[in-house]
Amino acid sequence: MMIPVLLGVSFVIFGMLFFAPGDAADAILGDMATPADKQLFREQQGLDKPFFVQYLRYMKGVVFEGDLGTSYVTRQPVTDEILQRFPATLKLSALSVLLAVIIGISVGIISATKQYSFIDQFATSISMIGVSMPNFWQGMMLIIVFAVWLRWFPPSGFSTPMHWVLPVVTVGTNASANIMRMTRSSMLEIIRQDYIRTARAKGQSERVVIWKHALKNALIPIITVVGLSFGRQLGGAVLTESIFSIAGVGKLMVDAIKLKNFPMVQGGVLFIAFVMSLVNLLVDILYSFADPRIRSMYTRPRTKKPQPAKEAA
Amino acid sequence: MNDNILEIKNLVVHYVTDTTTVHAVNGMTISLKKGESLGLVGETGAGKTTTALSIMQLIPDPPGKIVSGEIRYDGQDLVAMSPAEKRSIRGNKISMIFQDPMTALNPVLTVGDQIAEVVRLHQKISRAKASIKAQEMLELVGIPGERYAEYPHQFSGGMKQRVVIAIALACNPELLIADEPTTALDVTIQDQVLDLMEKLMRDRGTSLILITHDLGVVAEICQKAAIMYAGEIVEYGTLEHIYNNTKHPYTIGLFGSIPNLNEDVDRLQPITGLMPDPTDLPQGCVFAPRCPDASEKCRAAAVPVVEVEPGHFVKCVKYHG
Amino acid sequence: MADNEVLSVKMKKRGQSKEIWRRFVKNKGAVLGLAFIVLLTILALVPSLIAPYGFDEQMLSRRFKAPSLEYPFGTDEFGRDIFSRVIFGCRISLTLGLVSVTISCLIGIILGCISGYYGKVVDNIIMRFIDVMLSIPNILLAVSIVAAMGTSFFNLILAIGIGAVPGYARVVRASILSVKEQEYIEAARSNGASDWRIITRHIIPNCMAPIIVQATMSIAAAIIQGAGMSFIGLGIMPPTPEWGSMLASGRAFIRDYWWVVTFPGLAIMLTVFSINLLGDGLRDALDPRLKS
Repeated sequence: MMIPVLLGVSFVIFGMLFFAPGDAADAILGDMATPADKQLFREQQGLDKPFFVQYLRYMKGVVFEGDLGTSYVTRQPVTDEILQRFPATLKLSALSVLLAVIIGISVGIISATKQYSFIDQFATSISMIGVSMPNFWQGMMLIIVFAVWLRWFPPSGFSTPMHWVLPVVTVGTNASANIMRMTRSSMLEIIRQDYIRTARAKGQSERVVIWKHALKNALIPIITVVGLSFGRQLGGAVLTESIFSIAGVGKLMVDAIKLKNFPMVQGGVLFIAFVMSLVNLLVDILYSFADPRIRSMYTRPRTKKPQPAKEAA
Repeated sequence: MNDNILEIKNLVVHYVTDTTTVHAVNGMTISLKKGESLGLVGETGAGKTTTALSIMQLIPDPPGKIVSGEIRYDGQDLVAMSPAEKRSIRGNKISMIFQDPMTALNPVLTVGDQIAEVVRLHQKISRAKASIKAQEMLELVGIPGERYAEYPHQFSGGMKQRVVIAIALACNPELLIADEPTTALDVTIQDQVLDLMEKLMRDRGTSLILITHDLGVVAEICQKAAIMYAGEIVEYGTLEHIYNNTKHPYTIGLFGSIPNLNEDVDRLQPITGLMPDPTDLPQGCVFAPRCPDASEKCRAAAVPVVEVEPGHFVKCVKYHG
Repeated sequence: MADNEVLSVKMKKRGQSKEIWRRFVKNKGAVLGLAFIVLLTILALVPSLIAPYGFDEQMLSRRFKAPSLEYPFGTDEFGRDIFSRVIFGCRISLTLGLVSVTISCLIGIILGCISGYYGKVVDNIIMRFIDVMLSIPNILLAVSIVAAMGTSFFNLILAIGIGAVPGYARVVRASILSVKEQEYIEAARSNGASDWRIITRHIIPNCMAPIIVQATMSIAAAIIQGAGMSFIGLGIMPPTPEWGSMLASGRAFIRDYWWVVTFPGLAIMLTVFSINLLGDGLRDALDPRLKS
């Protein structure tokens, strides 16, 4: 299922940039070259061939060699440039998601179990404010307060754990707002279900009822939101990376766009789409772990025999 | 001295919201002896489930409140117990089965684990032993023990209800409350499940409160019956009393609206009107607006409970004095 | 229909709107949000009435003045009053939000309708296409479109609008799928209603509530996106006082002149916050069942 989507993405991006105004030869060779040079360049690069031929050549390069083209600016393979910067983006996203999950789920559960209490209303308001804040502005505010005024953390870069704090808090708190809301609404719905009443009727303690019976059921939509969040961050950390001067994929893309470095943009978008599809796949796998009904769709029922009952006589 | 396992005295339960107060149970009194089966009969909205939840101390608060009254289990007042004490009774000494088997089981846990859970809550035994006990319970209710590790969605409605029964009886409770356990099942399955319940309880000497709107089911399983209307018990006695010596106009109406195999009639005789709005109950007798025998006396003041014959109680002005 | 039947249907509809309004006003947050948005709309329509200075009045002698009575939000690197610039920026953000949402709404609804109603192959194709769009993070999609087509206000609106289409298409499609099988549709069809009539008279009114809520949220998202795009330099260019580009130009000065970035960002936040409050209020008012 992933494949057609990726093909679609590559087609759309390639198409968009192909028909964009601006000529590769002009961009790379600049003003110094003569028209004849440019024409030679075009022929060499195969830029004068029709659309589909170029598209197929490109895709062949991507699929068989992992070759996403060559950057106009640095003349280096796009793939290399991206892979060099990907770890930073990955680290930022992973840490942020971790923070977001920890804050989001715990606050969401508390909010749901003590509905309408002070904590609930406070958390709901804060999360609404958090969602409304553009995260690049939040980043800047955090820099002003914590890096400039208080000098607790460095304002940019990503090398030491101290450097990680501000960017991760920026992205993480934003994401946690969404996760908190989803946890809260999912838990509220689950708590109303009959089987929760059954669990209480067994004499089960409220803590176990909430954390085992309710939460396990509430996880599915929560996992969806977390997955989406992670995927979005991977691709969209553009702004945060800009603010904190983190050498990640997002910043690479933005710079490439400003410089009209089309192969980089194309390759970058394709790469990110690929990674996001992987994340989606991972989320689907997580679903089947969390919900046995979904698992049954994929597997045959396994019968685990604890111990033969006859022994107990 | 007292072989009553359960005594409810003048129970009053309200559901209070911002805008209204629902008077769900209004002064209800019944008692149950050890090993006895009582049928609690009434239409939807009569307060039967609320009564059951009150016994289990599971009334959601907010908005529900037990306003006054006593619920004594084996002499102890359930309402006054600490939460830990209440939890130790639920599932252990008093169990409850709910109406809809399709939603009563947790979809992400195996049926075996759900049975083992109640065992481990109240008995100090190892996980392995609890699993064995769970398997035994499955077999007892007619489900192969190998299905321990399967999930609720892999069972039919009738089998789910059996699992629910297995959970309820796993710790050998003294009292089982069954809230319309067969209403949501096919008619053929209903019989099987009722038979199963009857057998299991007879074998263990479990007392039963069976909540239902079906007089036929009560006749099959119970020894006593209490007819509930708008939060009050209007008639209470043995099956003999209720079925063969029916006194209260409501009960008479209930029997009258059941099709009779022996008679040849053109139309059924339902009771006219609807149950009163529980947020706005009438003064005096709560059934008076629909009662064919109603008089001024009925609407004037609260209606006394009269013992028309030993053990047979009726709440009706007609039999007073 | 007989006259009094028509009248009673009309009265029922009016009663419903009153009921919706009543539920809406009970929510203090939503009313607050609405009030703020009304304020913003006024600022957007007649900024010159409120703003004490023009948006590009430069006076280099008063560069980087801290917030004071004279300049409530301080001045920027060209000596322009930030308060006035923020007010002028209202119009841009609100226009961006409204127009882009209108575009995505229309396209999304049409796609969703076709997809949901006609099903099977058409549905599959459209859904695949939507999946493709969802695979690309919104920002990158918008950025790519702008990169390909050039930076201009209209292209920005288009880019953001296209990015939001999947949301509407899915909402509409889901509503249609859930309603399609219901019996009153069969009843309408057996009465001889044509496809078009069924869609407009029966299905769309049922989808209205989620669409309205989605639209409100989208306006908020569009404003943030627009600010983000301008921030990277792909949206609206200076000296137009778009809040995002104000943040971009102010960025160099955060070390010493904190107010240059604080207030435009605050404006974005308050605007989006009010829209979100409004959206939540609308959702609760339109369908109380959705509320927990």
